[in-house]
Amino acid sequence: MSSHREAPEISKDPVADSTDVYAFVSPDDPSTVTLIANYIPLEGPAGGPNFYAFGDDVLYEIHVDNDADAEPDVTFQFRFQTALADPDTFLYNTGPILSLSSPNWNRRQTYSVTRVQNGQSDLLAWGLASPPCNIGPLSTPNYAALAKTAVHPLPGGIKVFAGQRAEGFYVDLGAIFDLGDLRPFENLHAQYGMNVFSKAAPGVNATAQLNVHSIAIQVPIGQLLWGSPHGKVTDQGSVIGVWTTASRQTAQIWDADQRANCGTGPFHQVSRLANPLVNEVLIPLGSKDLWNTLPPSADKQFADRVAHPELAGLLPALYPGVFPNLAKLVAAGTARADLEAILLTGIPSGIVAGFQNYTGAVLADMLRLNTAIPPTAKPNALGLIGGDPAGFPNGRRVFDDVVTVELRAIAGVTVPLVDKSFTPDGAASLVTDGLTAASVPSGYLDEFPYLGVPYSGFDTPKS
Amino acid sequence: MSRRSVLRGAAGAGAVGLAAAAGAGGIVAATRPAHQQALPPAAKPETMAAMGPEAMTGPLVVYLRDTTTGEFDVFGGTGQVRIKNPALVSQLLKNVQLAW
Repeated sequence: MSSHREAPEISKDPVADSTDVYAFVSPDDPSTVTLIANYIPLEGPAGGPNFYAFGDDVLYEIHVDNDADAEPDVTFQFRFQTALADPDTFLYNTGPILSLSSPNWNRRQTYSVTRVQNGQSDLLAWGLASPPCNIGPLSTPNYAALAKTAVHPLPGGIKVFAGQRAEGFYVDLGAIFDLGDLRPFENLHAQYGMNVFSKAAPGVNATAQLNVHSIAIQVPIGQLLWGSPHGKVTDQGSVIGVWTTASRQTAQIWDADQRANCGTGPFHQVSRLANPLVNEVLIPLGSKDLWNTLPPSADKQFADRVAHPELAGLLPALYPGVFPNLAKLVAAGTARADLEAILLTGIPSGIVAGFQNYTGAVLADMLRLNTAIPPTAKPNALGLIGGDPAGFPNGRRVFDDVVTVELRAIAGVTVPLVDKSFTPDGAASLVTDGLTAASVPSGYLDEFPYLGVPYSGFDTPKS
Repeated sequence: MSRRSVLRGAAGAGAVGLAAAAGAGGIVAATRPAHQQALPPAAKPETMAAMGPEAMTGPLVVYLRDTTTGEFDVFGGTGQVRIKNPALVSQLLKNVQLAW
């Protein structure tokens, strides 16, 4: 998964577990950037009676670095508050919810948005309504329209939405974590001598009918930059680094009188996410919890895990004879400067014609977006390796096929960017888990907040 | 003992965590010993995160990770201070023993 349940500790704390981060120039308003941080992995739509909600006791943040030091320059903070209208019913709603002010909606959540910049905290808005979860035709009969009313304008031309969305990330989770099986190539898998697979098979999207909770904010580009030359693709000032964190208060005590957890003390970070699959796939189990507590500026200590990814060594072993050139590269101990550039520094000018998203020498996992690159009229979900510079790893759009991009990159397809003498294996440009954006049944929206209408509990799963 | 006090064991060398609502017995809310001893003032607290005056209305959490050092952390609001006061820790432990 991109970052769903990726570390032992955070897997026990779903409301604080970041799952995906997106950052892209908004296709319906190219003067803005949309930032999305998803939380609460693998939500079953039929989550009643206590449908999913953000954590009132969690500090959610989206950070933007705009001066290439991997420290936050602009941070948006989101705090949630749950209210129960009638504690004497077991029902989430006592009738159809036709508006965000419906008296039939019993358990609702509001939130505040604070911007931290230059040491100043500005409370931009509070009491903003999150939409209810998508329950079904009796409770939330016109869900798409209802949720649309939960897009709130903020001062300065900012838009915000926080609530349930359809999972837009697609991955064959069941196969990949069954010892690296890729169904479209599983007949080539070594299979540990068991000969389970005799032919290739299509991928299965494990997240196809699951929801997440999204925090989405759309901000005029100029509010995210610091003033150095920008506006041209070649300007380093056009590039921002983005990541999300979730934090909890240090001391957690079960208050028996309140029958609730009581948090006190300073907030400490328990979850972090920028580029997909970094903590998930590159960081070893023994370091994952540590990684989640650190800022991107501390990532130098993990650089070796990016330069020598464990998966690059596994691919030739699991698929004998399929990746001979990759096997030689791994055997030679060659550091993967291509992966370091993609994930830890951004790609400097001169590597890909007409493109750069370099933020300097500080090794840090940030989602780097060159804000001077406009949205593509006909996007390619493979992003930059598919010839579309508006997509991953130039930021990340909701439909980008990041699993395939990263599989191919680790398989060696991006090595020639830094070493022209290397010839990728033929399979490197074909490897995939067999899924595309069409594997997401909900589809995506053409407008903010872009992620699709969540699956309803009534309709999911289908009988 | 304060109604909201919680004692819990923690990993480490005899660690003890104590939560108490200020105003319902103060920071250290435990069984009053028969002979209350006077305590020396604590070493200047080390501020690890600013704790505003509003935090003193509680709840506060006191955390003794290692009872042998005489140091403990106090959490309140969004703040944290570290206090070194071996005598207070010693008295606390005596109070805990009295509660057994």
